[in-house]
Amino acid sequence: MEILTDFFGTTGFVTLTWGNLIMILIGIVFIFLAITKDYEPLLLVPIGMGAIVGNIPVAADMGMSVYDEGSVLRYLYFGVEHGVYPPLIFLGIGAMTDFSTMLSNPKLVLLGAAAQIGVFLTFFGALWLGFGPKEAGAIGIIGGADGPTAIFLASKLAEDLLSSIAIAAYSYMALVPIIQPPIMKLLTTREERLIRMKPPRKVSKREKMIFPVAAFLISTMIAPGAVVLLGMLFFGNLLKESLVTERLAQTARTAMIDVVTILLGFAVGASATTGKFLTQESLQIFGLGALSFAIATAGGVLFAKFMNLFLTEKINPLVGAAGVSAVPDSARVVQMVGQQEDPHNFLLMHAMAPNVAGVVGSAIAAGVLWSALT
Amino acid sequence: MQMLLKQTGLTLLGQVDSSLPNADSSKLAEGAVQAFVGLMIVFTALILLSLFIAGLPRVLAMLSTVWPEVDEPAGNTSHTDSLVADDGAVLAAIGYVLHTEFQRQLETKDSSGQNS
Repeated sequence: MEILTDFFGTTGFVTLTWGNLIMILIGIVFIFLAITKDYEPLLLVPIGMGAIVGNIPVAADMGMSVYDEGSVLRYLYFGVEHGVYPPLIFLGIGAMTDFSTMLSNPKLVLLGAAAQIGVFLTFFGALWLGFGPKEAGAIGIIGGADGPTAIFLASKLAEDLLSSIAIAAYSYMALVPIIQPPIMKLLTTREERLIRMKPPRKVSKREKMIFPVAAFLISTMIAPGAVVLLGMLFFGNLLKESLVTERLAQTARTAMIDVVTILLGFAVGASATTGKFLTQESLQIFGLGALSFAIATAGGVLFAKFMNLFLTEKINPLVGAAGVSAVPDSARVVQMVGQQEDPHNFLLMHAMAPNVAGVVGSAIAAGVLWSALT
Repeated sequence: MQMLLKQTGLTLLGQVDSSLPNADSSKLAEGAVQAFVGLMIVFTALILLSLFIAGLPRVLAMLSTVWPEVDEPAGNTSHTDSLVADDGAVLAAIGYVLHTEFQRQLETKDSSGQNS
Protein backbone atom coordinates (compact mmCIF):
# COMPACT_ATOMS: atom_id res chain seq x y z
CA MET A 1 0.00 0.00 0.00
CA GLU A 2 2.86 2.30 0.90
CA ILE A 3 4.47 1.52 -2.47
CA LEU A 4 1.26 2.50 -4.23
CA THR A 5 1.03 5.71 -2.23
CA ASP A 6 4.67 6.55 -3.02
CA PHE A 7 4.06 5.83 -6.69
CA PHE A 8 0.94 8.00 -6.76
CA GLY A 9 2.98 10.78 -5.20
CA THR A 10 5.29 10.78 -8.24
CA THR A 11 2.45 11.11 -10.76
CA GLY A 12 1.58 14.40 -12.42
CA PHE A 13 -1.87 14.45 -10.80
CA VAL A 14 -0.40 15.25 -7.40
CA THR A 15 1.87 18.11 -8.49
CA LEU A 16 -0.42 19.56 -11.20
CA THR A 17 -1.09 23.26 -10.68
CA TRP A 18 -3.57 25.66 -12.26
CA GLY A 19 -0.66 27.21 -14.13
CA ASN A 20 0.22 23.84 -15.74
CA LEU A 21 -3.40 23.35 -16.77
CA ILE A 22 -3.65 26.81 -18.31
CA MET A 23 -0.45 26.34 -20.29
CA ILE A 24 -1.57 22.90 -21.52
CA LEU A 25 -4.85 24.49 -22.59
CA ILE A 26 -2.96 27.25 -24.42
CA GLY A 27 -0.97 24.57 -26.25
CA ILE A 28 -4.18 22.83 -27.26
CA VAL A 29 -5.65 26.13 -28.47
CA PHE A 30 -2.57 26.74 -30.64
CA ILE A 31 -2.88 23.30 -32.21
CA PHE A 32 -6.61 23.80 -32.72
CA LEU A 33 -6.12 27.19 -34.43
CA ALA A 34 -3.33 25.83 -36.60
CA ILE A 35 -5.35 22.86 -37.82
CA THR A 36 -8.84 24.38 -38.14
CA LYS A 37 -8.00 27.98 -39.12
CA ASP A 38 -4.65 27.35 -40.84
CA TYR A 39 -2.95 29.95 -38.61
CA GLU A 40 0.81 29.48 -39.20
CA PRO A 41 0.52 25.71 -38.78
CA LEU A 42 4.22 25.02 -39.39
CA LEU A 43 5.01 26.94 -36.21
CA LEU A 44 1.93 26.73 -34.05
CA VAL A 45 1.68 22.94 -34.12
CA PRO A 46 5.26 22.41 -32.83
CA ILE A 47 4.90 25.30 -30.37
CA GLY A 48 1.55 24.02 -29.14
CA MET A 49 2.79 20.48 -28.68
CA GLY A 50 5.96 21.75 -27.03
CA ALA A 51 3.89 23.80 -24.59
CA ILE A 52 1.91 20.68 -23.65
CA VAL A 53 5.07 18.58 -23.21
CA GLY A 54 6.89 21.31 -21.29
CA ASN A 55 4.07 21.80 -18.80
CA ILE A 56 3.47 18.22 -17.72
CA PRO A 57 4.50 18.28 -14.06
CA VAL A 58 7.38 15.95 -13.32
CA ALA A 59 9.23 15.28 -10.10
CA ALA A 60 11.95 17.86 -9.49
CA ASP A 61 14.74 15.29 -9.17
CA MET A 62 13.92 13.72 -12.56
CA GLY A 63 15.47 16.68 -14.39
CA MET A 64 13.31 16.50 -17.51
CA SER A 65 12.29 20.08 -18.16
CA VAL A 66 13.89 22.33 -20.74
CA TYR A 67 15.67 24.22 -17.95
CA ASP A 68 17.23 21.11 -16.33
CA GLU A 69 20.83 20.35 -17.25
CA GLY A 70 21.23 17.03 -19.03
CA SER A 71 17.61 16.67 -20.14
CA VAL A 72 16.77 15.91 -23.77
CA LEU A 73 14.64 19.03 -23.98
CA ARG A 74 17.61 21.08 -22.78
CA TYR A 75 19.74 19.75 -25.63
CA LEU A 76 16.99 20.62 -28.11
CA TYR A 77 16.71 24.06 -26.50
CA PHE A 78 20.44 24.67 -26.99
CA GLY A 79 19.82 25.91 -30.53
CA VAL A 80 17.26 28.42 -29.28
CA GLU A 81 19.22 29.57 -26.25
CA HIS A 82 22.43 30.16 -28.18
CA GLY A 83 20.84 31.58 -31.32
CA VAL A 84 21.79 28.66 -33.59
CA TYR A 85 18.41 27.83 -35.11
CA PRO A 86 17.38 31.31 -36.38
CA PRO A 87 20.40 31.75 -38.71
CA LEU A 88 19.80 28.26 -40.11
CA ILE A 89 16.19 29.20 -40.80
CA PHE A 90 17.41 32.35 -42.52
CA LEU A 91 19.62 30.15 -44.72
CA GLY A 92 16.51 28.31 -45.85
CA ILE A 93 14.57 31.54 -46.28
CA GLY A 94 17.32 32.97 -48.46
CA ALA A 95 17.29 29.82 -50.60
CA MET A 96 13.58 30.20 -51.28
CA THR A 97 13.38 34.01 -51.67
CA ASP A 98 13.19 35.69 -55.05
CA PHE A 99 14.58 39.22 -54.79
CA SER A 100 13.83 40.08 -58.42
CA THR A 101 10.74 42.21 -57.63
CA MET A 102 12.89 44.24 -55.25
CA LEU A 103 15.66 44.50 -57.86
CA SER A 104 13.21 45.69 -60.50
CA ASN A 105 11.87 48.56 -58.36
CA PRO A 106 14.51 49.62 -55.82
CA LYS A 107 12.56 52.55 -54.38
CA LEU A 108 10.16 50.06 -52.77
CA VAL A 109 13.08 48.97 -50.54
CA LEU A 110 12.51 52.16 -48.55
CA LEU A 111 9.05 50.93 -47.55
CA GLY A 112 10.75 47.98 -45.86
CA ALA A 113 12.85 50.47 -43.92
CA ALA A 114 9.83 52.61 -42.99
CA ALA A 115 8.01 49.63 -41.49
CA GLN A 116 10.86 49.18 -38.99
CA ILE A 117 9.55 52.25 -37.18
CA GLY A 118 7.35 49.72 -35.39
CA VAL A 119 10.46 48.13 -33.88
CA PHE A 120 11.93 51.32 -32.50
CA LEU A 121 8.71 52.91 -31.27
CA THR A 122 7.84 49.67 -29.47
CA PHE A 123 11.33 49.66 -27.97
CA PHE A 124 10.60 53.11 -26.62
CA GLY A 125 7.15 52.03 -25.44
CA ALA A 126 8.65 49.08 -23.54
CA LEU A 127 11.08 51.42 -21.81
CA TRP A 128 8.13 53.65 -20.91
CA LEU A 129 6.40 50.69 -19.28
CA GLY A 130 9.46 50.07 -17.13
CA PHE A 131 11.28 47.30 -18.96
CA GLY A 132 15.08 47.45 -18.97
CA PRO A 133 16.89 48.46 -22.18
CA LYS A 134 17.82 44.90 -23.18
CA GLU A 135 14.32 43.62 -22.50
CA ALA A 136 12.83 46.57 -24.38
CA GLY A 137 15.07 45.84 -27.36
CA ALA A 138 13.98 42.19 -27.41
CA ILE A 139 10.31 43.22 -27.18
CA GLY A 140 10.68 45.91 -29.84
CA ILE A 141 11.87 43.45 -32.47
CA ILE A 142 8.40 41.86 -32.44
CA GLY A 143 7.51 44.82 -34.67
CA GLY A 144 9.87 43.43 -37.29
CA ALA A 145 7.30 40.62 -37.76
CA ASP A 146 10.09 38.12 -38.22
CA GLY A 147 9.99 35.06 -35.97
CA PRO A 148 13.60 33.87 -36.30
CA THR A 149 14.89 37.42 -35.82
CA ALA A 150 12.74 37.87 -32.71
CA ILE A 151 13.97 34.58 -31.24
CA PHE A 152 17.58 35.38 -32.12
CA LEU A 153 17.53 38.81 -30.47
CA ALA A 154 15.57 37.60 -27.45
CA SER A 155 18.13 34.81 -26.90
CA LYS A 156 20.90 37.42 -26.91
CA LEU A 157 19.24 40.18 -24.90
CA ALA A 158 16.45 38.80 -22.73
CA GLU A 159 16.37 35.03 -22.50
CA ASP A 160 13.79 35.05 -19.72
CA LEU A 161 11.27 36.67 -22.03
CA LEU A 162 12.09 34.47 -25.05
CA SER A 163 9.03 32.22 -24.89
CA SER A 164 6.62 35.16 -24.49
CA ILE A 165 8.30 37.14 -27.27
CA ALA A 166 8.41 34.17 -29.65
CA ILE A 167 4.78 33.23 -29.07
CA ALA A 168 3.68 36.87 -29.37
CA ALA A 169 5.64 37.29 -32.62
CA TYR A 170 4.26 34.15 -34.27
CA SER A 171 0.73 34.76 -33.00
CA TYR A 172 0.61 38.25 -34.47
CA MET A 173 2.20 37.06 -37.72
CA ALA A 174 -0.71 34.65 -38.00
CA LEU A 175 -3.12 37.52 -37.33
CA VAL A 176 -1.68 39.83 -40.04
CA PRO A 177 -4.82 39.37 -42.24
CA ILE A 178 -6.89 40.70 -39.33
CA ILE A 179 -4.62 43.43 -37.97
CA GLN A 180 -3.52 45.11 -41.20
CA PRO A 181 -6.61 45.73 -43.39
CA PRO A 182 -8.43 48.20 -41.06
CA ILE A 183 -5.24 50.25 -40.65
CA MET A 184 -4.58 50.20 -44.40
CA LYS A 185 -8.11 51.40 -45.20
CA LEU A 186 -8.04 54.05 -42.48
CA LEU A 187 -4.84 55.63 -43.78
CA THR A 188 -5.61 55.60 -47.52
CA THR A 189 -8.28 57.11 -49.75
CA ARG A 190 -10.20 55.13 -52.36
CA GLU A 191 -8.32 56.96 -55.13
CA GLU A 192 -5.01 55.92 -53.62
CA ARG A 193 -6.10 52.30 -53.30
CA LEU A 194 -7.01 52.28 -56.99
CA ILE A 195 -3.52 53.31 -58.13
CA ARG A 196 -2.12 50.82 -60.63
CA MET A 197 1.63 50.34 -60.80
CA LYS A 198 3.77 49.56 -63.83
CA PRO A 199 4.63 45.88 -64.22
CA PRO A 200 8.10 45.04 -62.83
CA ARG A 201 10.95 44.83 -65.35
CA LYS A 202 12.80 41.64 -66.14
CA VAL A 203 15.88 41.22 -63.97
CA SER A 204 19.00 39.62 -65.45
CA LYS A 205 20.67 36.58 -63.96
CA ARG A 206 23.83 38.59 -63.31
CA GLU A 207 21.92 41.06 -61.18
CA LYS A 208 20.45 38.23 -59.15
CA MET A 209 23.87 36.64 -58.68
CA ILE A 210 25.70 39.83 -57.71
CA PHE A 211 22.96 41.10 -55.40
CA PRO A 212 23.39 38.72 -52.40
CA VAL A 213 27.12 39.35 -52.03
CA ALA A 214 26.88 43.09 -52.58
CA ALA A 215 23.83 43.50 -50.36
CA PHE A 216 25.53 41.56 -47.58
CA LEU A 217 28.63 43.73 -47.78
CA ILE A 218 26.66 46.99 -47.80
CA SER A 219 24.30 46.16 -44.97
CA THR A 220 26.78 44.51 -42.61
CA MET A 221 29.45 47.17 -43.01
CA ILE A 222 26.84 49.60 -41.70
CA ALA A 223 25.33 47.28 -39.09
CA PRO A 224 27.90 44.57 -38.17
CA GLY A 225 25.55 43.15 -35.54
CA ALA A 226 23.44 41.75 -38.37
CA VAL A 227 26.31 39.73 -39.87
CA VAL A 228 25.04 36.34 -38.68
CA LEU A 229 21.43 36.67 -39.82
CA LEU A 230 22.14 38.51 -43.07
CA GLY A 231 25.15 36.32 -43.83
CA MET A 232 23.00 33.20 -43.75
CA LEU A 233 20.11 34.89 -45.59
CA PHE A 234 22.28 36.03 -48.50
CA PHE A 235 24.31 32.82 -48.49
CA GLY A 236 21.09 30.89 -49.00
CA ASN A 237 20.07 33.28 -51.77
CA LEU A 238 23.44 32.88 -53.46
CA LEU A 239 23.04 29.09 -53.37
CA LYS A 240 19.75 29.58 -55.22
CA GLU A 241 20.82 32.21 -57.73
CA SER A 242 24.29 30.88 -58.60
CA LEU A 243 22.60 28.00 -60.49
CA VAL A 244 25.56 25.72 -59.74
CA THR A 245 24.53 24.75 -56.22
CA GLU A 246 20.88 23.89 -56.83
CA ARG A 247 21.18 20.70 -54.79
CA LEU A 248 22.33 22.65 -51.73
CA ALA A 249 19.65 25.29 -52.25
CA GLN A 250 17.00 22.59 -52.57
CA THR A 251 18.13 20.98 -49.30
CA ALA A 252 18.30 24.33 -47.51
CA ARG A 253 14.78 25.39 -48.51
CA THR A 254 13.14 22.00 -47.87
CA ALA A 255 14.61 19.37 -45.56
CA MET A 256 16.95 21.58 -43.56
CA ILE A 257 14.53 24.39 -42.82
CA ASP A 258 11.81 21.88 -41.94
CA VAL A 259 14.06 20.07 -39.43
CA VAL A 260 15.14 23.31 -37.79
CA THR A 261 11.56 24.63 -37.72
CA ILE A 262 10.40 21.48 -35.91
CA LEU A 263 13.18 21.70 -33.32
CA LEU A 264 12.83 25.47 -32.86
CA GLY A 265 9.05 25.45 -32.51
CA PHE A 266 9.01 22.49 -30.15
CA ALA A 267 11.79 23.86 -27.95
CA VAL A 268 10.22 27.32 -27.77
CA GLY A 269 6.89 25.78 -26.80
CA ALA A 270 8.52 23.58 -24.15
CA SER A 271 10.22 26.64 -22.68
CA ALA A 272 6.86 28.36 -22.15
CA THR A 273 6.43 27.14 -18.59
CA THR A 274 4.13 28.67 -16.02
CA GLY A 275 6.80 30.73 -14.34
CA LYS A 276 8.09 32.15 -17.64
CA PHE A 277 4.84 32.71 -19.52
CA LEU A 278 1.98 33.36 -17.08
CA THR A 279 3.32 36.67 -15.83
CA GLN A 280 2.21 40.29 -15.99
CA GLU A 281 5.19 40.94 -18.26
CA SER A 282 3.78 38.51 -20.83
CA LEU A 283 0.52 40.46 -20.95
CA GLN A 284 2.47 43.67 -21.50
CA ILE A 285 4.54 41.97 -24.21
CA PHE A 286 1.39 40.82 -26.01
CA GLY A 287 -0.04 44.33 -25.79
CA LEU A 288 3.16 45.90 -27.08
CA GLY A 289 3.35 43.28 -29.83
CA ALA A 290 -0.07 44.23 -31.19
CA LEU A 291 0.90 47.90 -31.06
CA SER A 292 4.18 47.23 -32.87
CA PHE A 293 2.42 45.50 -35.78
CA ALA A 294 -0.05 48.36 -36.08
CA ILE A 295 2.68 51.00 -36.01
CA ALA A 296 4.79 49.10 -38.54
CA THR A 297 1.83 48.83 -40.92
CA ALA A 298 0.99 52.50 -40.50
CA GLY A 299 4.65 53.46 -40.96
CA GLY A 300 4.92 51.66 -44.27
CA VAL A 301 1.64 53.04 -45.65
CA LEU A 302 2.34 56.61 -44.58
CA PHE A 303 5.88 56.54 -45.98
CA ALA A 304 4.50 55.38 -49.34
CA LYS A 305 2.14 58.37 -49.31
CA PHE A 306 5.09 60.62 -48.45
CA MET A 307 7.12 59.21 -51.35
CA ASN A 308 4.19 59.88 -53.71
CA LEU A 309 4.62 63.61 -53.07
CA PHE A 310 7.89 63.44 -55.04
CA LEU A 311 7.18 60.70 -57.59
CA THR A 312 5.62 61.02 -61.02
CA GLU A 313 4.92 57.28 -61.17
CA LYS A 314 2.90 56.86 -58.01
CA ILE A 315 3.17 53.95 -55.63
CA ASN A 316 -0.06 52.38 -54.41
CA PRO A 317 0.23 53.18 -50.65
CA LEU A 318 -1.26 49.79 -49.74
CA VAL A 319 2.05 48.29 -50.84
CA GLY A 320 3.71 50.05 -47.88
CA ALA A 321 1.93 47.70 -45.49
CA ALA A 322 3.95 44.84 -46.97
CA GLY A 323 7.08 46.33 -45.40
CA VAL A 324 6.00 44.32 -42.37
CA SER A 325 8.19 41.32 -43.07
CA ALA A 326 5.61 38.58 -42.51
CA VAL A 327 6.47 36.97 -45.86
CA PRO A 328 4.28 36.37 -47.85
CA ASP A 329 1.17 36.99 -45.74
CA SER A 330 1.38 40.77 -45.66
CA ALA A 331 1.93 40.87 -49.44
CA ARG A 332 -1.18 38.70 -49.85
CA VAL A 333 -3.13 41.10 -47.60
CA VAL A 334 -2.09 44.00 -49.86
CA GLN A 335 -3.31 42.04 -52.89
CA MET A 336 -6.61 41.26 -51.15
CA VAL A 337 -7.31 44.82 -50.00
CA GLY A 338 -6.33 46.22 -53.40
CA GLN A 339 -8.65 43.80 -55.18
CA GLN A 340 -11.56 44.78 -52.97
CA GLU A 341 -11.42 48.17 -54.71
CA ASP A 342 -10.39 46.95 -58.16
CA PRO A 343 -10.48 43.20 -58.93
CA HIS A 344 -8.11 43.74 -61.86
CA ASN A 345 -5.39 45.47 -59.84
CA PHE A 346 -2.65 42.95 -59.16
CA LEU A 347 -0.43 44.28 -56.40
CA LEU A 348 1.06 41.01 -55.15
CA MET A 349 4.35 41.14 -57.05
CA HIS A 350 4.82 44.82 -56.22
CA ALA A 351 4.14 44.09 -52.54
CA MET A 352 6.76 41.34 -52.49
CA ALA A 353 9.48 43.98 -52.95
CA PRO A 354 8.95 45.77 -49.61
CA ASN A 355 8.09 42.41 -48.06
CA VAL A 356 11.53 40.94 -48.68
CA ALA A 357 13.17 44.31 -48.02
CA GLY A 358 11.48 44.18 -44.62
CA VAL A 359 13.24 40.91 -43.85
CA VAL A 360 16.58 42.61 -44.50
CA GLY A 361 15.45 45.71 -42.58
CA SER A 362 14.33 43.76 -39.51
CA ALA A 363 17.62 41.82 -39.47
CA ILE A 364 19.53 45.13 -39.62
CA ALA A 365 17.32 46.52 -36.83
CA ALA A 366 18.10 43.44 -34.72
CA GLY A 367 21.81 43.87 -35.37
CA VAL A 368 21.65 47.54 -34.40
CA LEU A 369 19.77 46.79 -31.17
CA TRP A 370 22.14 43.95 -30.29
CA SER A 371 25.21 46.14 -30.85
CA ALA A 372 23.77 49.11 -28.99
CA LEU A 373 22.38 47.26 -26.00
CA THR A 374 25.10 44.70 -25.25
CA MET B 1 24.90 65.89 -31.01
CA GLN B 2 23.93 63.02 -28.76
CA MET B 3 24.03 65.29 -25.66
CA LEU B 4 21.83 67.84 -27.43
CA LEU B 5 19.34 65.16 -28.39
CA LYS B 6 19.38 63.80 -24.85
CA GLN B 7 18.71 67.29 -23.42
CA THR B 8 15.88 67.78 -25.88
CA GLY B 9 14.51 64.38 -24.96
CA LEU B 10 14.66 65.20 -21.25
CA THR B 11 12.80 68.48 -21.83
CA LEU B 12 10.11 66.84 -23.93
CA LEU B 13 9.75 64.05 -21.41
CA GLY B 14 9.38 66.43 -18.49
CA GLN B 15 5.71 65.60 -18.50
CA VAL B 16 6.29 61.88 -17.90
CA ASP B 17 3.59 60.49 -15.67
CA SER B 18 5.36 59.77 -12.43
CA SER B 19 2.59 57.37 -11.39
CA LEU B 20 4.04 54.85 -13.88
CA PRO B 21 6.28 52.51 -11.93
CA ASN B 22 9.96 52.56 -12.86
CA ALA B 23 9.54 55.39 -15.41
CA ASP B 24 12.92 57.10 -15.49
CA SER B 25 13.24 60.29 -17.53
CA SER B 26 16.93 59.91 -18.27
CA LYS B 27 16.47 56.28 -19.36
CA LEU B 28 13.57 57.30 -21.57
CA ALA B 29 15.57 60.13 -23.11
CA GLU B 30 18.46 57.78 -23.82
CA GLY B 31 16.01 55.26 -25.24
CA ALA B 32 14.48 57.90 -27.51
CA VAL B 33 17.93 58.77 -28.84
CA GLN B 34 18.76 55.10 -29.37
CA ALA B 35 15.46 54.52 -31.16
CA PHE B 36 16.00 57.51 -33.45
CA VAL B 37 19.61 56.65 -34.22
CA GLY B 38 18.73 52.98 -34.77
CA LEU B 39 15.98 53.86 -37.24
CA MET B 40 18.34 56.19 -39.08
CA ILE B 41 20.94 53.41 -39.35
CA VAL B 42 18.32 51.05 -40.83
CA PHE B 43 17.23 53.76 -43.29
CA THR B 44 20.84 54.52 -44.25
CA ALA B 45 21.60 50.88 -44.94
CA LEU B 46 18.49 50.37 -47.06
CA ILE B 47 18.92 53.67 -48.92
CA LEU B 48 22.46 52.63 -49.87
CA LEU B 49 21.14 49.23 -50.89
CA SER B 50 18.43 50.86 -52.96
CA LEU B 51 20.96 53.14 -54.69
CA PHE B 52 23.22 50.17 -55.42
CA ILE B 53 20.32 48.22 -56.93
CA ALA B 54 19.31 51.25 -59.02
CA GLY B 55 22.87 51.65 -60.35
CA LEU B 56 23.55 47.95 -60.94
CA PRO B 57 21.88 47.70 -64.39
CA ARG B 58 24.04 50.58 -65.68
CA VAL B 59 27.22 48.98 -64.35
CA LEU B 60 26.26 45.62 -65.86
CA ALA B 61 25.42 47.31 -69.17
CA MET B 62 28.97 48.74 -69.27
CA LEU B 63 30.40 45.37 -68.24
CA SER B 64 28.47 43.57 -70.94
CA THR B 65 30.37 45.50 -73.62
CA VAL B 66 33.52 43.69 -72.44
CA TRP B 67 31.94 40.51 -71.08
CA PRO B 68 28.58 39.89 -72.73
CA GLU B 69 25.96 37.99 -70.75
CA VAL B 70 25.06 34.66 -72.38
CA ASP B 71 21.37 33.80 -72.20
CA GLU B 72 21.28 30.27 -70.77
CA PRO B 73 18.62 27.98 -72.30
CA ALA B 74 15.74 27.18 -69.99
CA GLY B 75 16.35 24.36 -67.52
CA ASN B 76 20.12 24.32 -68.09
CA THR B 77 21.38 23.65 -64.56
CA SER B 78 23.98 21.44 -63.01
CA HIS B 79 21.51 18.98 -61.59
CA THR B 80 18.99 16.93 -63.58
CA ASP B 81 16.44 17.01 -60.76
CA SER B 82 16.48 20.78 -60.58
CA LEU B 83 13.13 22.39 -60.11
CA VAL B 84 14.29 25.76 -61.42
CA ALA B 85 11.96 26.64 -64.27
CA ASP B 86 12.51 30.06 -65.60
CA ASP B 87 10.94 29.72 -69.06
CA GLY B 88 7.45 31.15 -68.79
CA ALA B 89 6.72 30.39 -72.45
CA VAL B 90 7.29 26.67 -71.91
CA LEU B 91 5.03 26.66 -68.87
CA ALA B 92 2.34 28.57 -70.76
CA ALA B 93 2.53 26.06 -73.63
CA ILE B 94 2.20 23.12 -71.22
CA GLY B 95 -0.78 24.80 -69.59
CA TYR B 96 -2.43 25.35 -72.96
CA VAL B 97 -1.97 21.72 -73.99
CA LEU B 98 -3.36 20.47 -70.68
CA HIS B 99 -6.35 22.79 -70.96
CA THR B 100 -7.07 21.69 -74.53
CA GLU B 101 -6.78 18.02 -73.56
CA PHE B 102 -9.16 18.44 -70.60
CA GLN B 103 -11.65 20.27 -72.79
CA ARG B 104 -11.47 17.45 -75.36
CA GLN B 105 -12.03 14.81 -72.68
CA LEU B 106 -14.99 16.72 -71.26
CA GLU B 107 -16.58 17.01 -74.69
CA THR B 108 -16.05 13.28 -75.31
CA LYS B 109 -17.65 12.46 -71.97
CA ASP B 110 -20.61 14.77 -72.67
CA SER B 111 -21.27 13.32 -76.12
CA SER B 112 -21.09 9.71 -74.84
CA GLY B 113 -23.50 10.67 -72.04
CA GLN B 114 -25.98 12.11 -74.53
CA ASN B 115 -25.80 9.00 -76.75
CA SER B 116 -26.55 6.55 -73.91
